[in-house]
Amino acid sequence: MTVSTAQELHLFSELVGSAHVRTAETDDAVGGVVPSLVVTPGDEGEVASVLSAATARGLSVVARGGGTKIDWGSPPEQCDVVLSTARIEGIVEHEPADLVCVVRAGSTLSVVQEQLAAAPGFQQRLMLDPPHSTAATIGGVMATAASGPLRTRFGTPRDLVIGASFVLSDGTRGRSGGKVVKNVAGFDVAKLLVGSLGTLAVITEVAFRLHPVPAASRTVLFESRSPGDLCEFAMRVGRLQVTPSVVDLHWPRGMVVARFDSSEEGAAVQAERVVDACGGRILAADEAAALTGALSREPWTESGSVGAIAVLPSRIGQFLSSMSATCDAIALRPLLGTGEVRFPPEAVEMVRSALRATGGRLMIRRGAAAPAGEPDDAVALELMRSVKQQLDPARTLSPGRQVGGI
Amino acid sequence: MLDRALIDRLRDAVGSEGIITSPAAVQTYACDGLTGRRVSPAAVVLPRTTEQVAQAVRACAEANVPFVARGAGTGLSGGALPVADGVVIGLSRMRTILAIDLENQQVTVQPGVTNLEVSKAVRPLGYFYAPDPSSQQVCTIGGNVAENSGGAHCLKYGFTTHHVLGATFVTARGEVAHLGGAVRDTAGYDLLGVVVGSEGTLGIVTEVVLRIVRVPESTETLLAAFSTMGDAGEAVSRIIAAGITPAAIEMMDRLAIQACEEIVHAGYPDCGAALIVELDGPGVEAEAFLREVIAICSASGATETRVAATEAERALIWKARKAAFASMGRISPNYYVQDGVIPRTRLRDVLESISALSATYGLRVANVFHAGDGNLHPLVLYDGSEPGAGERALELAGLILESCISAGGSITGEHGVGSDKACYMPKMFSPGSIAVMGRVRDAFDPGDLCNPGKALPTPRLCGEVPGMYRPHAIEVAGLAERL
Repeated sequence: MTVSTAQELHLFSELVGSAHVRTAETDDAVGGVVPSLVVTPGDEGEVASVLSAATARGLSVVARGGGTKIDWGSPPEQCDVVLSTARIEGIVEHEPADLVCVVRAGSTLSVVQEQLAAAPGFQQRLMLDPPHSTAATIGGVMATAASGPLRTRFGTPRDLVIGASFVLSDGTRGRSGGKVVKNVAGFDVAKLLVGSLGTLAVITEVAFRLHPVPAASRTVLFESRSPGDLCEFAMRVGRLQVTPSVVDLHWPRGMVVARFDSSEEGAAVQAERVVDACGGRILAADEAAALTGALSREPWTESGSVGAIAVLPSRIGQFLSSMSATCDAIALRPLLGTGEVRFPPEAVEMVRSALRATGGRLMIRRGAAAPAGEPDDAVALELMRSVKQQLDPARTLSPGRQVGGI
Repeated sequence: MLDRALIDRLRDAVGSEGIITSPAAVQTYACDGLTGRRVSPAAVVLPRTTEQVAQAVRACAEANVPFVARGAGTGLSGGALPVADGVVIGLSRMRTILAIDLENQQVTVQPGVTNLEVSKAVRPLGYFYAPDPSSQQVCTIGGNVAENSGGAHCLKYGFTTHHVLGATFVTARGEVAHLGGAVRDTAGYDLLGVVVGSEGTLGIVTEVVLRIVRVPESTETLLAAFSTMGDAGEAVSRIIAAGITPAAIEMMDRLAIQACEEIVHAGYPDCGAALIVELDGPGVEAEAFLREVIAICSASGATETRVAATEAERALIWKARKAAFASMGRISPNYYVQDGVIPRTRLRDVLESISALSATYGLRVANVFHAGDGNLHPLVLYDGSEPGAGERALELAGLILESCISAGGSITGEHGVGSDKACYMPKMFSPGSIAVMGRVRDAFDPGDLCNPGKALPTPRLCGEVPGMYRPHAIEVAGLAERL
């Protein structure tokens, strides 16, 4: 331990208690950068003290929840302190009749879902199913804008968040939105924090809109070895008068899974309509559950680089045809033109250029030594720099992790 | 007065037929739907292209003159109120639907296209644009983006922010940026997310990519009568608890029903409270939910339930609901419309406090609201010819907002903060929170030239007393209603 680390350990111990500060280990590295300390504040006030102390001393801070997506984004330029949100957890408020909840940022998504499900007399949940959702925390899911199959119907965290509390690097504590679904008072700062990769503020509390757990589900499976047929099936489902919760395309499995969640009658009629109009077959409940479980881990199951892709939905077929041999696993939401792909690290430029050729983009999620994403628009990038400059002028928070080195 | 050189630059930007400087002619732009506040701008420019908007903004920015973007001027919070000696950038000539891309279920429009025009353009193809503010016949997409507009059906379909995929955006310095876009997941910060609903204070959108939605196969509309607002509120809670998400749930109290019946004659029952519940989806699904909702209403004490049997009956039920504000003129010389939000579960308490305030002030309050999402529109009735009545009505409306805040709600659900409610912001947000919003604003517009004085409180603004409501010209002409 260096002299300065010892001083900092003492300083942060004064702020959060010595039991909640430790020297960092190799496992605490963020994008390969090993910090000096891991500090675990107990509440928002302590987060504010830690951040202002770090900023005053010119230390860089990376906020960490479950650490499941800590490698999303570029490696930080500098990382002195990992601020763990592990002690900032629990449900602050759940009013089932209002279909809203307020949760602390360090709560894991899985614990939140369990507690929401336990409300007597109600069946409701947060409609988010990002990758690694067992250990993922609410704050991390917000900061990475992570979503899963349910995105087709319910969107990403940006579409479900109705309010957030956060702390800026100078210790300013702020809140935007509230705990009602309909609200246009003030700027929607929470939307800036969704996907900010921890570079603007440390999120401490989030209010979400919830949805009822559907009474019934039906899953339609369409299988083909032809990328074109798979895409055509998905697009035809998108044109029907039905409301799927999930339409996911998996390669090399050669499958499209479409799930309908509604009343018993509603789910059945929608699934039957899809089979009649587009083909495929309705799965038995246990078969659907087993398949969904297996697919939900794609494409993260094996080693290799993982990237998130985005193209126009109409270009999904072109992308899939060109990449079906290069990528080891592809999980797409064809109706949105988004998804995640796994590929050998050396293939990163091939994937990137295939996406460029279709007018799309690649954002690295794991494993490839390349920038996490590319800015699309020079003027927009300047505005992003300006937002960073206003909210974190000292560049304390996760410097260099966002596009353009922000 | 504007500097001659600036006027010349603006004229160069938009052409002689695109600039208005006559003191009489600029009066048309002196207010929006909040007609009690009026400020004359020095000039109005009416650009037709993104480049013209950018040139006009650059000219203003370089001359350090504030500018305010304006759509149809139907906003109810004074968000498009001009700045004295500033420039209004009216977007009403930018009204082209640029592209309809059915394959990707999106359309690209200029900001002056009206909300309803989007749905009309895609309806024959089996699609619609979901956000449906009541002024949708005249209000523009640019204004909707600025205000993050909702509407009766946002309970199920979400707000403007959920339906805007991208925007061409002229910054406060007159540069052109592309935020979001036809392809999802732009790299970097979600600037579009904070621009939507920023009330025109961060820049000007000049093209918008909107998501369109498939028209549902079937729509069922139920009108249910209750003896009391409490019973109707109970039914709303039970519908939500049953896991049903209707497309809309609207509520009206006795006074509002009586007023609407005077002008629409929709045949609403004479009752303490009426609920309109709309369910849509595949036919079998909508019918199944409808049966369940009828059972819940009956169990909650509904005295009558009536299902629209034809499209005409459905339209009539909605016509009465949408005429609620306009019909107040039949029962009161003047009214003030409030826009507050409460958690649904606090409905009974807040209605009781509204009723107590009404008794204390000796002023009637009619209640019309989007019950599904707790968005109240209490209408405070008064006689403007009575000395002090207008002030008392405003004071009462202000106290209603305070009870919304203390119930855990919001000062505005859809009308915006604008210049009307900026001074209520500190009641809802801490100084730290407002400071952060101010810093976001500074990041986009360091010179404070883009619609200054709106959305966030300023000492100058909060020293002023808001004026009384006077009907806007387009309301008088019957082109729009306040909702």
